[in-house]
Amino acid sequence: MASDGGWTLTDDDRQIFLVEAEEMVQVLEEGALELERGGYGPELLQAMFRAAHTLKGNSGMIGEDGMAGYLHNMEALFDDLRGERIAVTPALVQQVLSGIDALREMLAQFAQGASPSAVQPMPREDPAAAASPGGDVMPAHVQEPSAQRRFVVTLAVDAECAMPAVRVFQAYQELSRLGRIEGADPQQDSLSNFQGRSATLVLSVERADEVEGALAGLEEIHLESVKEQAAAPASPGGDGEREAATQTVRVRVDVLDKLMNLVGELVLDRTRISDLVAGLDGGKPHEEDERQAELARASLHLGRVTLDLQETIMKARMLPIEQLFRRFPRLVRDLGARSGKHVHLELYGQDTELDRMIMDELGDPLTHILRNAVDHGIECPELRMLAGKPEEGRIALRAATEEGYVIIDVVDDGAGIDQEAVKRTALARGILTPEQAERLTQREVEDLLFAPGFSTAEEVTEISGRGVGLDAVRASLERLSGTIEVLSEPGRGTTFRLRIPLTLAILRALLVRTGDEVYALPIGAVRQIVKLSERNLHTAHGRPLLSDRGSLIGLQSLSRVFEGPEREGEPFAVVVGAGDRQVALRVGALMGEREIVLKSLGDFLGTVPGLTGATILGSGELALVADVRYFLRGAAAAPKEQAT
Amino acid sequence: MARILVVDDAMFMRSRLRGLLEGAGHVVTEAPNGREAVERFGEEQPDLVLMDVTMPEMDGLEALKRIRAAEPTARVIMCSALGQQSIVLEAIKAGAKDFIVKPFRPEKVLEAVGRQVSP
Repeated sequence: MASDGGWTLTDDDRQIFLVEAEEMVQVLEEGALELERGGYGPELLQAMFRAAHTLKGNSGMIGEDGMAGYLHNMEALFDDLRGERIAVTPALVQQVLSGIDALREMLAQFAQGASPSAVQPMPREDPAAAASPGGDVMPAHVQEPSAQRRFVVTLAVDAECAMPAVRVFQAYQELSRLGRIEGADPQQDSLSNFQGRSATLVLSVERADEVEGALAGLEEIHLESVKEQAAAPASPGGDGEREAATQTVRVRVDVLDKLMNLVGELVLDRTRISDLVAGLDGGKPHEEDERQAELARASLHLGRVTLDLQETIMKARMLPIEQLFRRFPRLVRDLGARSGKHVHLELYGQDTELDRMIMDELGDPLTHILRNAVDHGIECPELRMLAGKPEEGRIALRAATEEGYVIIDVVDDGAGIDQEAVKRTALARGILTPEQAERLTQREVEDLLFAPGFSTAEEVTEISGRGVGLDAVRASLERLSGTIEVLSEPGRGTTFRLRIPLTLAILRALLVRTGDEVYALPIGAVRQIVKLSERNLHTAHGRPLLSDRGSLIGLQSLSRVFEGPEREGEPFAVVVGAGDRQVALRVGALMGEREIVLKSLGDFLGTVPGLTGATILGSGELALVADVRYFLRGAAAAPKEQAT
Repeated sequence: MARILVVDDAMFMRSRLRGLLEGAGHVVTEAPNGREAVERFGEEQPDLVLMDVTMPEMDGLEALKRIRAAEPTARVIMCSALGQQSIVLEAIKAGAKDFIVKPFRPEKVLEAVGRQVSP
């Protein structure tokens, strides 16, 4: 198909352009927020300059001259900032932020608009084409053979060095005493604006071991590596990038989804085959035994491979949570500005990975919680001053992985939750009776925030909006099999803690057997396993109870889901819980812990209360995944922690 | 012990550097601009010059060039501020031995000085 000079802009090209553009815009936006906070240095301005510059180049390449012109002006602005010809002022930051918004708008239009080349996309025959952006292929250099040995020398400049160009120049000076510098990146004569932290040069020299010594007298710069140049020509600085490129490839999300669905089909067919194999038992002539056994083995193997394939594809759907988090600093800044507060959002644990589907679902709940924190959590500057806090409010957004779950904390350093105000509101809204209000613990009061129809705002503000409360946030988390809790310290701040399964599709579970059935209990909900005996089994009002270190826990049979018989003799109980509720489930045998792939029940049974799905075990056996919340419904709150 | 000429138009800066360098056992003289620095260098032949970049009458780069023209072995460390990278680069090309960046950290100053002269 290839290159006759005129490029066709394929769908893939557009996609790559857009993804990169978003990255650049992100750099610009984060930079603008950093500028606003006064934390700027040459490195930041350089990064912003580079982002504008790169995006300008890309826009020009796709023929979006309007955007390129726009970016040219932005680039010039950063150049002026960098050259200290203009100063950072609030108005300038606003100008940059508005510019970024305009850019986003242009990109959105580009993403939707049908440009001539997009009307007739080039058929994609070569999957490798997706990995290499069009036109990026450099003609190979023809290098003259040289008698001397060549080394690729990589230099690293310390992060705190204020003038990397000078250090790099000094290093070039020293190295040129050893031998000839064949090429360098950055080049010697283009150093004056250089603000990078690394330099690469090709040095013709007899001995490589002198290189380090030559740099010993220089501060703030050191030798990163010396590698003899291979026979194949390599452009300086290119090595590292090429290495990284072979390890990852961008894959379109719809391709992954399609793979996922195909594997799902495969799993179903595989189940059918294994059913057929089972059906072949008995009534068959003896000579078919061997073939039958062979078929059974193949079916088993097929099952394992399918499962592996499914899990692997699931893992490919995981993305760093940074993808979700990165839009929030700007949001928080804007929300703060609108309510006359200075609020800074700090992000932690951005490399935590999460299923892309879940990430999409988390955007709205997190936005709501952050709004809540800015609106109700962080005090106005005057109140903060009075309370002896810094004028600028802080919200930390933290992600971490814990046993198959991602924990996201939204921590503000605001006023904390006013318990009395919460009770008053709950009483006024009829969510609570006065007698109930008397007996509530702090936890229970805080839990009221999630009650339907509750809002602590004295009045509905523009920002927190109307109609969607924290009850909706909790509901959307529950749809993801997640939980949300709030913890608050008066005067010190509030923490919202979200717990979400890493993926909806793979979870770690404890497998248990009751009667003939195998159940999977999500490990996040499992609190402990107890061996039952006369000593810890009790009955009160005709209901079985488990006593555990002085507290009593309701005991239920797992088979309750199918209204099966109570199995009296079963020897174990698994205590499961969520939040402050827990219940003990009686089981016959423990089969250990493993990762399972959750399949929708629709494939097998339709919707059954008490079950979230099913999974096929490596043995081919079906395991039912218990919905712990079903068993907890009506379970008493756990005794207060201090009770023991 | 080395004889060091400190050149800066800000008296505060000169006095800070003097205190630091004298504390490290050096003998310090001062000049408030490039023109005086060139004169004093001719008279005193110090072991090392700490040269500010931005000064009235004659800037540091010009003074450096004149000093190096008169005395090709002269040792000069440029004292620069953030954002003056291209000037410092010029200075290094013109023969300055090293540079330090304001705001100075005392240990950085002493390290840079120590690489040029012995205490």
